[in-house]
Amino acid sequence: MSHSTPDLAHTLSPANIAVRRSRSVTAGENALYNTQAACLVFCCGTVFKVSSLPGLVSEKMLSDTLWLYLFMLAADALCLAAALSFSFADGDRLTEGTLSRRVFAALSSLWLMLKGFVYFAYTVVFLMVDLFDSVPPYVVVIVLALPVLYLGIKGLRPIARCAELFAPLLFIVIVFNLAMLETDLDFGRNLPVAAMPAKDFFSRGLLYGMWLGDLLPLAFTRTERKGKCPFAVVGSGISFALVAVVAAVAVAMYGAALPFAYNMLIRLAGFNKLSLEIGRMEWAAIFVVIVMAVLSLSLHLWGAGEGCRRAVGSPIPARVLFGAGIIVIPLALDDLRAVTGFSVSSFGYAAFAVSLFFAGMLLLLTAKAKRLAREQTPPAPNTEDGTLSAPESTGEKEAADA
Amino acid sequence: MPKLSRAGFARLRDRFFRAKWLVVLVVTAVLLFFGRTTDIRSLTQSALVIGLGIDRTETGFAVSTLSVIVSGSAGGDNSESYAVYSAEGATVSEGLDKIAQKMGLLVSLSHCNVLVLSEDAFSAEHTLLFKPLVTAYSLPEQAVVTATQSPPSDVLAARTGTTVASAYFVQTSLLQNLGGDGLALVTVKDFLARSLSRSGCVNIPLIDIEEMPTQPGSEQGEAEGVAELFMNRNLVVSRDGCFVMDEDLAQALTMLTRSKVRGKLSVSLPGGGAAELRVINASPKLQAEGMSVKASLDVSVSFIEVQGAYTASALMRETEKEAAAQLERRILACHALSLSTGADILGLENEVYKKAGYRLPENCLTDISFSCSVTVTVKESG
Repeated sequence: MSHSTPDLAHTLSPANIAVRRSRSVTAGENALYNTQAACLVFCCGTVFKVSSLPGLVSEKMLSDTLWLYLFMLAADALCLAAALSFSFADGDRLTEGTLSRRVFAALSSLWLMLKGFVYFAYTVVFLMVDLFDSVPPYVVVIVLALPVLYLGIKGLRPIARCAELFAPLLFIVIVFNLAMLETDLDFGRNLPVAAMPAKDFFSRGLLYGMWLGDLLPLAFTRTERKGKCPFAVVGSGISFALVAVVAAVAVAMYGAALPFAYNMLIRLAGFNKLSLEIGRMEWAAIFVVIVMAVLSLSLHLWGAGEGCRRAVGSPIPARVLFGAGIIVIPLALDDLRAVTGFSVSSFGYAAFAVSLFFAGMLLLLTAKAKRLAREQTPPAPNTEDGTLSAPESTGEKEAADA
Repeated sequence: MPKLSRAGFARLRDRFFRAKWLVVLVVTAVLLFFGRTTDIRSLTQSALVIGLGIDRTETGFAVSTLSVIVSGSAGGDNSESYAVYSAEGATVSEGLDKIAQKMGLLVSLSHCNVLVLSEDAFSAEHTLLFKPLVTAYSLPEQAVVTATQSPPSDVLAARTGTTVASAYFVQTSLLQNLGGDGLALVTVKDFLARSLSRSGCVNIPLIDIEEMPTQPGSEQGEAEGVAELFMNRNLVVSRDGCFVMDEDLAQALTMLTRSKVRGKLSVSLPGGGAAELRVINASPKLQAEGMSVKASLDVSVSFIEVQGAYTASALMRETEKEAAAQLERRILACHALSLSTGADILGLENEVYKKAGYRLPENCLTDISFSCSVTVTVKESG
């Protein structure tokens, strides 16, 4: 007598659920584990805040640099929370086809292209000032553009895996540089809090709005939980804390001379206890900055492409525009500092508003996605005690759907 | 030619991106291309500057460099020699360019660890003086800033009895605290940070040079022109100018404004005795309350030598009391000097500014009242 397992029971077996979840995460084009999301937050969300930004902020904010950083990090945490909550809610799939998501995708694609281009200009300027001052710009542009385009077009998975691979190493290098720092530090240089009237604080500080919302591309992902630990939240917390620490140390090291430190990570590595023993240690930070910048720019390119795909059906226009923007415009411009100057002009106010607008829009879309999810989920059968049980995870939900 | 279908295009795209060899090939090609187009300077084409001197002239700047010149030979053996070159220019950069022309080598400051500036050189705006050196010539921000009342080229060219180049002597002395008591090392970064602060005042080691009274002997007989370099005094650089500060005041000032201080302290004891003390640790604290600043300094010392007969308890008590009184006198003398010169050497404006913020008026040094207390503790060993 043959015995056959019922289809439903077979589908619902724990091993099968695990396999299905695993496949859905690794094989999908926009799926992430929360560990990968944490690594992306660290690699892509901090690099431009801890490299060139401290010097730029200090030019206008004086001893209020750290306080502006804390204010901006709070705003950035809101943007990140909005993107992550949308991602965790699988909002990208649930809101598919709605007008609001299409509008969001189109606008964010344009915004990511613009930000990616400005960040690319910053990276090229850094490479040409700090490393290859006698090299023609086209060499730097081509060498930098190739990995960015390759990773950005190949997709989220290689970017996330690279981030997963490099994040621990990069984190250790930064922490090592902070631990081995040997220089005159005066944390009192972060005072006074009132280095300028409140009106000036905001009118000057909001000029740096472009550095907000670096992780907007996560809105096009679907993040899966791995284990019980909230890796994405913990990773984001550590990343943001590290940014605040670097800002505080930067002011403590340089005080009013901070505007001369055009790349703070490199400067941190320069004042290393081991420098006298084994030579200058800047190379370690240069490696960190280049890897993180390439990953961040790739994520911007991927995000711009995905936004374009959801808006017009194909990512190619965004990829072509992004590629052309980062290759042609830097070579066409006489001085790339015009781009970096533009980023801290009045454009910064618009950038601040746009980032918060996207965060607000994502929060609304998340609410909508959750409502749609509730509508799509069939009510679970009554249990013995009369309560209704809803599926807790996507895997269970899928199993229930099946 | 048949048109590629959407699926066919996707297949081709996937195959393209799956090809890891392609990535290796592209990277190799780029690096080869990069290697052929990059102007990599060899050591024999560069003058590695280890010391830079800057003096102010009527028309601009007199720049001097102490360079290591590496000469290569076919057998692969390299030899090093040290040379001082000087040139004048309207800017420091022009001076460096002229030196490069004289040497026929590219000037690189990336190994320069010592800067020797004349008093007049500080009359130039500090930002404009240092920024081009850091950005255009890769001067490390860790380079030590020193001053001299002699021409900087003389200090760089000085032959000392113990090191092959004066720059090494200065660097080693400051790093190992072998200069004057409590003389602090000031890097380019620290110089700018202090110079651009609200107080706008920084004290740096002053190098004095004298010919050695007894020239050292060598295999060829007695050597000539060997000099001694002293770094006992400080040059105080403020917005209003510079002045020299003696070793005693410099030591007290360094203790109060820096935490990492070593050095020695000589104390006269009642009854004609004296004690030589080693400073183990100094913990300064400046606290502003409105327009008054209170300084407190806790110093730990240990005995090196005592002249005179004292009981152990009396020696400890008297030494602590006398050393504290001596340091307090010196700090108050620093404050008096600060008021008379208008240079905020104690950093009082910085402290008041931390609490008062942007409402603090400019140049308010004379409006700030100052008091200090010093505690000295004698410990068994350091």
